[in-house]
Amino acid sequence: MIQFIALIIFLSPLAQAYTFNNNFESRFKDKNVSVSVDELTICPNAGLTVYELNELIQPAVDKFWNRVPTSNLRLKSGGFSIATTNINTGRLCAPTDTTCITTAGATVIAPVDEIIIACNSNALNFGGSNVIAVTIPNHFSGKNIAGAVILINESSTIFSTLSKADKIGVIAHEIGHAIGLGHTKDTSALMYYKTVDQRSALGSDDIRGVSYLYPMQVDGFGLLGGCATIQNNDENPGAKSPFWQMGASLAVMILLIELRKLLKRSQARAAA
Amino acid sequence: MYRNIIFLLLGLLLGAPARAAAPSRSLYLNLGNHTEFYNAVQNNDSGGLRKLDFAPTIGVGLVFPVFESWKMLPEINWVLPKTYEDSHIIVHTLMYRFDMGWDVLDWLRLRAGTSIMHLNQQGRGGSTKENNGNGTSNFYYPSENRSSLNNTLDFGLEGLFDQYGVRLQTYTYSVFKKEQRQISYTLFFTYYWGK
Repeated sequence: MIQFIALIIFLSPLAQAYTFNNNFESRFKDKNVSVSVDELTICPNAGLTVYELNELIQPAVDKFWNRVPTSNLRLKSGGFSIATTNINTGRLCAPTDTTCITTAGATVIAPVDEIIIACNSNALNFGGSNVIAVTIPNHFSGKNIAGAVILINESSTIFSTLSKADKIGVIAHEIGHAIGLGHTKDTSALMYYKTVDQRSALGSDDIRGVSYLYPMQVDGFGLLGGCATIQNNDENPGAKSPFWQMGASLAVMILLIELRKLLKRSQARAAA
Repeated sequence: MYRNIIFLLLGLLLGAPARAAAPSRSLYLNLGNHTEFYNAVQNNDSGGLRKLDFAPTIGVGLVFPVFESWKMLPEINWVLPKTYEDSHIIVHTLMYRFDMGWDVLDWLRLRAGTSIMHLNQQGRGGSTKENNGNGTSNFYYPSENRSSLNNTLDFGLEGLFDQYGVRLQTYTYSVFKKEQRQISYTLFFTYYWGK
């Protein structure tokens, strides 16, 4: 038996891994996050009206990110946001990217307080006409993300060539970046760097990643929805193991076995 | 229709004490294979959804006879760790379970119960270069130890053969929230000790 268990442990498969945008594992502090379209954005090259762009958001979050029961993150379409400075033509810079901020000067897109989607015609944001969209969290509060901007490439017509399902997939992928996730090597994952033949659900990597950043904390069968804070079991990253929990569980089991023996003995005595 | 089902269930229930109930065994060991979120996880780049995963699972449980054909069945199962990207992330799941079992026939047990599902992820930190459209960028692995806890509603169907059992056990996540509801399942092979 022991050999068999050792064998299946040894055989546990290796797989790809999810990643994050930055080394401090930033995420939104609140579990309820809105995704809105900038009210003054224009998307002629992307082949969309702002209303059509807005209609892609709810399917993107409902089909993908909101379906994970092990995560307490809940995304929703926030409709239209107030206009963001420089959103249609400005440079999107990370707050720590001083080179980008210095070069762009007054054309830097202003920090936002939720997830904002817009179309942008500044080719410098995309690095090439084959890049469909970019996302950068451009507002932090401590280590938490306070806001992120998703820009659809308006300097080319690549977005307009996609099917509606692919457009929803692209928006969902960019929302993945906005909530803190990075790319993975796994082609079955939504966070793979490019579009694939068909995207019907999150991959295993995506589910693990969003569950790590936004873990569910006892959901009461879905009634409670989990608390909003992250349980961080370990201040010393990755050093400890949760195997003490298994030890405690086994101890409870052994106690139950002994209790059962005691009950049997007392029943036997009573019968005698 | 419903009346027929109720009569059938009543008949089985009332008839159960008259039959020789399945042996009352005290301790059991599970070996199985767990599939998380049946038909809801993409597993290839053409939109295919995963129906069967490979995730070896072990566990132990106890049988507490309540009366005749009814049993209380607490158990703990462990979906063995999977390592990702050369152990940058280790993922495993613990199930703290409690079932009520009904031995409908000598060889057939129905189970209904609940679990606390404890998904644990241990990150080891580090970074990797990943393709980013027009080049590569640095992305970062998790570096902490975090867990998700879920309550599930569980149903199981178990065939009992002498000291052995074969079981299909299902776990429904977010029972009361339709958009997040997912079903996982485990196929168990069980060995019972005692009588």
